[in-house]
Amino acid sequence: MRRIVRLLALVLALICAPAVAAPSDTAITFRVPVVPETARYLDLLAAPSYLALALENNGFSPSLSSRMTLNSRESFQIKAGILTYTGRKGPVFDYDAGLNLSLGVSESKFTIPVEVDTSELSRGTIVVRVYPPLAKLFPRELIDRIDFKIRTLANLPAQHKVLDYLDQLAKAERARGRGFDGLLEAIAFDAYNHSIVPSQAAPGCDRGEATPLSDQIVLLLTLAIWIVGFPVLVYYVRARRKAHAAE
Amino acid sequence: MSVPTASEFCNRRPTGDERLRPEIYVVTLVTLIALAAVLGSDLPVEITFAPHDDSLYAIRAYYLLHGAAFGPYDSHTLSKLPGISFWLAWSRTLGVPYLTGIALLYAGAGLYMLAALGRAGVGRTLRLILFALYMLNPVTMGVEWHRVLREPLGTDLFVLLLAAMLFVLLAADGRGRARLHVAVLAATFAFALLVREDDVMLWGLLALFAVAMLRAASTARATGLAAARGLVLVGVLIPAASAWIAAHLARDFVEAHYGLPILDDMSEGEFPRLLAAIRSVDSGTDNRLVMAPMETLTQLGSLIPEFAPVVGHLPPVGPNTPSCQLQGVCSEWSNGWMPFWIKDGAAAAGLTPTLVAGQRYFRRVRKAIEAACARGALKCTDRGSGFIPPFELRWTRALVHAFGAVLEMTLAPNPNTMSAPPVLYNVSVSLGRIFQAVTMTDHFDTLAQTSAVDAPAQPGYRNPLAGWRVPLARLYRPLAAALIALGLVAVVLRWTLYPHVAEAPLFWFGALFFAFAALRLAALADVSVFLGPFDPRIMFSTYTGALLVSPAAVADLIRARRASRAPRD
Repeated sequence: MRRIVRLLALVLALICAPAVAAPSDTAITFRVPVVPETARYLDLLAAPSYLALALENNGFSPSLSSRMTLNSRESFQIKAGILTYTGRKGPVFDYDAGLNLSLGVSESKFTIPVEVDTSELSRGTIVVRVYPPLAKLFPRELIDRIDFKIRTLANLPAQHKVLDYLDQLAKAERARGRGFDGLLEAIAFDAYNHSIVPSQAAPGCDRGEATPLSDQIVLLLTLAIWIVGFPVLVYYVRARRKAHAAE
Repeated sequence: MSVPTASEFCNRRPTGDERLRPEIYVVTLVTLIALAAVLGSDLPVEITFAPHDDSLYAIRAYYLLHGAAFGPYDSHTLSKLPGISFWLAWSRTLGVPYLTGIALLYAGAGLYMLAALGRAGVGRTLRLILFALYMLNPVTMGVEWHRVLREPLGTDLFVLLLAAMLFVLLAADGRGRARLHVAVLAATFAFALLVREDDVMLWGLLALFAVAMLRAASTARATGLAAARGLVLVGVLIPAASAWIAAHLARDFVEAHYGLPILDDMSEGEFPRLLAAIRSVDSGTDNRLVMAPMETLTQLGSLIPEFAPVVGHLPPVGPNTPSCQLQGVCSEWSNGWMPFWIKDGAAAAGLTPTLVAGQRYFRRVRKAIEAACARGALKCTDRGSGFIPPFELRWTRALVHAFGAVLEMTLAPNPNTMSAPPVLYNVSVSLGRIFQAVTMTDHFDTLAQTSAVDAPAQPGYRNPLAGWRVPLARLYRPLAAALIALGLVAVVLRWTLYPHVAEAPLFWFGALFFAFAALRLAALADVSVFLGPFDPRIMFSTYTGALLVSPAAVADLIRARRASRAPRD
């Protein structure tokens, strides 16, 4: 019975999603501390794929458990989740956060609007507003986990590291007379150079694979000599000295 | 040929150390404690979100303080032993901030060890040097020491345990009374076994201690042989009985609140048996770091419908996984993660809402795997029944590598020295408040956590000695590594070259420690072969113990040499 109720609630949420997609009072808000200097690269918010790459290039992957797929400059995907930049209204950047749900025979896409409000950036904060259906019913624990994830990606040392990285790239691009597009290209090239060779993820290349015992015969003999031979030597020397002292 | 024992030699000939006046000794001790306190005075609790470590311990303690056991059951609740959460709750109940409690216990354990070494005949000057090494130990200025982890507490308890053992050894040799020290030994041993899973090896230390006691008792004169042998029984049986009672009480507590007497459901009960059953299924993957390959799990998911939801919740493998980036296992999840994913997957699928239901579920799946193996639906090979598979000779090279890594951590663990306290933490405000409530840290500003501009650029208090920490650690590590190696060599040389000089308790103490350290290193290397490299913090206790024992072992060697050359009476 409980499963049926849960399924009904899910279906209801899916049906209602477009209706509540518009910004409403039922937003979940995250206030993220941000160093004001990041204002220099505000345009990157309109190219989230490059922003995600810049994070990855600095070791802050948006997802540790799966690889990111870049769909376009405006959109990237992690597993079934897709983030797409949809536009900008002054200091507010709009996105659609989507989820591809596989229902067996067909696929259904479920999206919720997300706003990133940078109007308080000079005061060290950006505000992320998410407008999910039935926002008030979201468990606190889930919200805390999202909050944690955002903070993990946006902690101050990480921001300084990414900022330094972007400054370095931007400086080099300016010297070559290239602007924002040059910066994006540099991020992409850097990502390629940092990427793991695909064969590393293939079976047979993992650390810990078995090696034949026959390859270790010399090692085993060496160990045996040390494990048995050294204590015997020590005992022999002791016995001789004891006998010598007794004389 | 009659040659004086080391003890007789020490009693007969005053050492140069005794020239150091007691007042100077005490003033220097106090100065060292004060210096260590000032060096770390700006370092607060490092609040960290780690669902299987820091935050688990703090949240369990928070619930304990509210009389709700360890809180609602989930896949993490009993994934680690409960000792650290008990400690946090006691500490908070007594009103002692977490870091202050750890620092006081550390200093107290060090002073207790000094008293034991003093009774063993170690002079004041050497004890001062030893205490300086101990109090300026760089691991106590590192990040891990300031996180809510089990290693700082485990290190304090280990030093306390070693000191109590030395006192009891000395009592068996006829020096001093043992009653109080047996009580300290029993209480520390019993509690230490509830703190870390690998501290089950302390039973090995107790066994070695029994051997050392028997040896010391055989040469005892002042107390008489019978009394000394009685002390051996008391010194070993009381700690063993205390550990049994403490574990029993802790299990009763868990059973009363969660339905089963299981302290650690990762390594006890049905879950490790399920892992062993999964491991027994033959697959194309032959990798010591992978006990549950995706191919096997997918096969099990299709064969056992009840297991399918767990497989559905497993995160995908790939080059961006920590398994790939940290351990080089990219086409699978290595053993450092997969067991947790399976347990978390079962919880996420709603199959393990309580401890009892979880154990029943894991048992059903295990039985189903075993039945499939028995009827030939799966091809299986017995690969042990515990969490860690039995060792095979073909993993020898890996074992040697792992032993080398653990040995390096013992000689010079990376202390990860904190140069400055953090301004903000990567935790949610609610979790930060839980840490604040449990550890009594005053370094979590709820308002500052919301804005980088409102947050101060640096903490209000600036420690004038903060800049010393990193250079001190750099200077300290190679010296300490050489000293520990020298300590081990000294014990071997003492035993080999001076067999005609009867062994003093200090020698047995050194031999006991290094034998235990070797046992622990070997055991951890074996585990590391299957779980991947450990974090250096796992060796903090052995490292700190070695810092205290090694100089004493060297001193014992010098004494034995002097005794062997002394003129006969």
